[in-house]
Amino acid sequence: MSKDAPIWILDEVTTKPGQGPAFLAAYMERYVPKAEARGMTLAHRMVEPAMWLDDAPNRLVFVWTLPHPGAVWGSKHMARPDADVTRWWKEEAPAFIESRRRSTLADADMLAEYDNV
Amino acid sequence: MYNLLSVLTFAPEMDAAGRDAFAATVGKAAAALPGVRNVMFEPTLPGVYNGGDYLLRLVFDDKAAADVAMASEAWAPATALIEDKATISTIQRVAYPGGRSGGSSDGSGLYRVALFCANVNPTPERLAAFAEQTAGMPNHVRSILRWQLSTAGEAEGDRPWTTVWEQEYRDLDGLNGPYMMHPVHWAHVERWFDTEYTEHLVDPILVHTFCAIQRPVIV
Repeated sequence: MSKDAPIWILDEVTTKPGQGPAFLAAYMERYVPKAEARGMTLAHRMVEPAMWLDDAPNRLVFVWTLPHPGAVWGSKHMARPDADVTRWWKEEAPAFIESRRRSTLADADMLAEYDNV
Repeated sequence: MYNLLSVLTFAPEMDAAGRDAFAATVGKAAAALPGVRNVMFEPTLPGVYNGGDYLLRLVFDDKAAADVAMASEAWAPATALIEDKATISTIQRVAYPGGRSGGSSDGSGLYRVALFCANVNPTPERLAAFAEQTAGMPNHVRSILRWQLSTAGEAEGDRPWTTVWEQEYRDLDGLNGPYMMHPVHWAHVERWFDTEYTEHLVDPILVHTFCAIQRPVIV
């Protein structure tokens, strides 16, 4: 494998009860377009359980890909000065969610190569 | 040891002759400082971010020795220039006792320093975790020859700087290559700097600056 193997960014979000559909709509409308413009590709958007809950939280998992580690920096450097990004996570998203976590992952077969820089 | 670090940015109207005169005056004054244990006064290299035109780093036995030196006659000509807004328009300044450190270098290569302001929910637990992960970077980034992670005792500038993260490398490639591209940076420690991560701790305004060196700086 080359160092161009993809990097995955995971957004794991637990919504407030009944807020799953509204959060998904807001995420797709207010967050996704600019993230895609920063070079990120939304590969999966998954919901647990496999139904919207009116009176309990849903867990949503968004799987993003970037083509290589350098693209991670490229995306970050575009996002950092963009006030909309901070506004989304600090002001808009909290209305819908109880908790969230973002993670950066790589293919297990790539770790030795990434360590050898 | 007690360290004084200044990131100095020339006023826009300073021409080449004025810059040369500044460098000569401050360099001479720094070398004559009473009690100084180590002096680094070097122009920054292209590629710095909020990194100024000159880096001045002075090391003393303790804060009392630093205070005496800064008030000395030997330093007066430098103070006059550094505090003159027509000469130096912006100063990022920190004073700090030496923090956690490691590695060794012969001092020929590159000195890099970053100033951070950890001001987003800076609980003791989060600050400790950030420091632990940052201090762990040299275990993975093999181009870091010598390093020190310190908490600023005094600070002024664009932010009330809290953290001083210094490294010495063989050359600029060691900074732009392994330091930037190892996953301990972009996939691990970077979470503290990124508003998109719940770990976000550090103000987006920071100092990232570096210069060539001829002898060890982190002593």
